Amino acid sequence: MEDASAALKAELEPFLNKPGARQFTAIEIEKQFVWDYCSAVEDGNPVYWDEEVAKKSRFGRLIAPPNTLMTLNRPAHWLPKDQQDKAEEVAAALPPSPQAQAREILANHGFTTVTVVNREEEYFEPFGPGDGRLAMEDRFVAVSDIKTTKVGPGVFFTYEIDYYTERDNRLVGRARNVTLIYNGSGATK
Amino acid sequence: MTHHASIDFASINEGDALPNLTFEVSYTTLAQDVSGTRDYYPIHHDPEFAKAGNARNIFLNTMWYQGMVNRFVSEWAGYESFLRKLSVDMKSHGCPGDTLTVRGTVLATRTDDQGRKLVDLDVRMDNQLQPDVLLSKVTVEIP
Repeated sequence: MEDASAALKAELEPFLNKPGARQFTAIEIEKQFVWDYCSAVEDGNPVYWDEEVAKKSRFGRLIAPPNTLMTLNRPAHWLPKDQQDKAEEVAAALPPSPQAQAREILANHGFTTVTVVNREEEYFEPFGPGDGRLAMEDRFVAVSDIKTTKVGPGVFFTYEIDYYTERDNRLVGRARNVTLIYNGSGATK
Repeated sequence: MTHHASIDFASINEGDALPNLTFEVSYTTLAQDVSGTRDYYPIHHDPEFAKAGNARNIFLNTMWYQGMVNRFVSEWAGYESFLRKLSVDMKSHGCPGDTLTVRGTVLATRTDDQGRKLVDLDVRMDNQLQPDVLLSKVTVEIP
């Protein structure tokens, strides 16, 4: 297993810490988006709802809960066929993400099933309505030796996503995802 | 409720408990979760689909829990506070009919190299069936 781990890491090394092309969220950060999110958890924080209080606060304006990164990154609910085709064309024209290429290598070794072990988010600066969409840049940052787990042999694969505002290119957040990518057919009974 | 601007950083001590928050989860909560977090995966709105996957019923998603933890922390810390770090680890499903109790404890207070006043928190949720259905670690900045 030690030799196999070293060989796999050598194969993945060219893709380590290489950022992928930036991709944008499907929607802009708007007040109604913020209010719909806050309504779900009944969060009445005035810096999300009340322009007057928000303006006088240290943020100086309405902001979004910083933990809306994942929600902003959800795809459009529905698109007309021509818009869907256009979105697919834009995605297809992007160079392959080094993170996706690393996952392909893992798949070639039989590690195809992905489960998220942990997601941690870090927030650098507030963002809110008026900042446009968020741009996202991903990179694969770590891979473990091959482990024997109860669901089968696999590796812990860690990737990060950086989030930037469209309006002024500020780095506002980072998500760190630790995943277990494994070969389910090798599970112990 | 009346919102306060900020808790006094000097008054916070390791081991302090935050005031508990109780939340009744209904079908309407799940509808608002789906809409508010833009998550149309059927496991959050189609009971038959969810039960076929061995869940008790449709259940709350990760983004809802992130929002609830942020609400819980900022209601204690004040609206001038700002979340700096958040991780959530779901241990069980939150379904319509559940009563969630959110509780939190101060793990540490510190000032970082940029002079920011930070509080590390352990936040957990229980439901009527078991404790610790959600485990969360939070760092919040107090102005």
